[in-house]
Amino acid sequence: MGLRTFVLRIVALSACAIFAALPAAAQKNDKSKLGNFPIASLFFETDTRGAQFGVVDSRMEETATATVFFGIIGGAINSGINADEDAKKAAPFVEAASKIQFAPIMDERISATLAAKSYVLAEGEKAASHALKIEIKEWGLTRTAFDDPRLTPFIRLHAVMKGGKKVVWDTYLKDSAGRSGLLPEFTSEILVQEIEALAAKMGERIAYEIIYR
Amino acid sequence: MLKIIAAALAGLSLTACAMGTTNISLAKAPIARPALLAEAPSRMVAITQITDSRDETMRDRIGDKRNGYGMVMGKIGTTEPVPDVVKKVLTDTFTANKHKVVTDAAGANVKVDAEITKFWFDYKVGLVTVEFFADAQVRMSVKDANNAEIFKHDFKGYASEKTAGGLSDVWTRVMDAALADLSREISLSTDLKAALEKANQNLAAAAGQPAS
Repeated sequence: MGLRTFVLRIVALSACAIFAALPAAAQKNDKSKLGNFPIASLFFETDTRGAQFGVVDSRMEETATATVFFGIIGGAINSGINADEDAKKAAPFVEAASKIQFAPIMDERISATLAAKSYVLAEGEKAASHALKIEIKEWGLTRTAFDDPRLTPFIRLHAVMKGGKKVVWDTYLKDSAGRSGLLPEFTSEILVQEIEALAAKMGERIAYEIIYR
Repeated sequence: MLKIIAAALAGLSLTACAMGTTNISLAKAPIARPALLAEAPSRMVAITQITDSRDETMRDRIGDKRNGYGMVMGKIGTTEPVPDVVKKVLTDTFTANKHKVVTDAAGANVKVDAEITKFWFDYKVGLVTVEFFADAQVRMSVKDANNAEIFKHDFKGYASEKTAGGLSDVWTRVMDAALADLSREISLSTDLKAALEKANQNLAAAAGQPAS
């Protein structure tokens, strides 16, 4: 081992000591948790324009198999094949999925839960001290686990709350329904029923995040 | 030559903390706050079993101490076994939410089992800051007094913090923040609240009495 390598190793080993010597000045800019600040009045809206429906099943297998056996190129090809397979699995549900109205379900549940705790809800953004925007990002059916072929309905959303122009909460929430089963066990009716119940549950969850912040 | 040896010895003395095992004490102070679970009628809760289902090769630690090359130099452990820490967090969570944690499972309204699936601390060194991450995941199962499973869910607690640096005090703070997040996830579960409400209805139905 040369002198240079030796010195470099000592420097690298000293990283721990450097950690200790520096002041632990935490940058508390984590907005994923809602702080306990007063909310005089809240305006909220649910935006579904970017919501994407899909089935996430075949894609769950790609990283563990194709990438290992065929390398990155094989993995990329397999990813395309799996995405196509998932699109085919989603096709029978697309028509029913397009009719689901997330916004009224979630808004009603958020309003009711907050109102029950005497929260002041504003009619418009300008009249509110805080404004919450909920964007539905992805939803549909996903595997319950990487190695479990059963599927479960899920919704993933993005919630951003602002106090004036300042972002005070910025988080992604994902939840799945209690029901799980193999793809043939899901009909359009079951999917709609489960997703609507899940949307209501997530609306309630957002309200409770605000109440118990 | 003497200067090189002196520099090496000085370096090694400074890096002692990077080697060996450093055990941190977690959840020393109460970390739970009352939330939605407190809205359910007060129940007697027995925490019956905490299983450690983490990968067998990772059960001896909750994180690795790495040097500047990313090489593992030592372990980050806990002063108490991880299942005991999780039991403390669950006890604290139910107690903060006005439920009574009892040791006698026979007299409890509900029995809680937990399976630890992840309990890990890590960090990423940037140019001027270090970002610390902590992740605690638990699969919780709740049974009523008739031993029927009335609730099952995977809860995840996560925390991260960017600082200029830090040792065991920062590791403890970030891991405790993840445990507080885990506790909050449990405290805000609408399904767990519903299960606690249902627990006595099941008992009452079995006994032919009105539920409380």
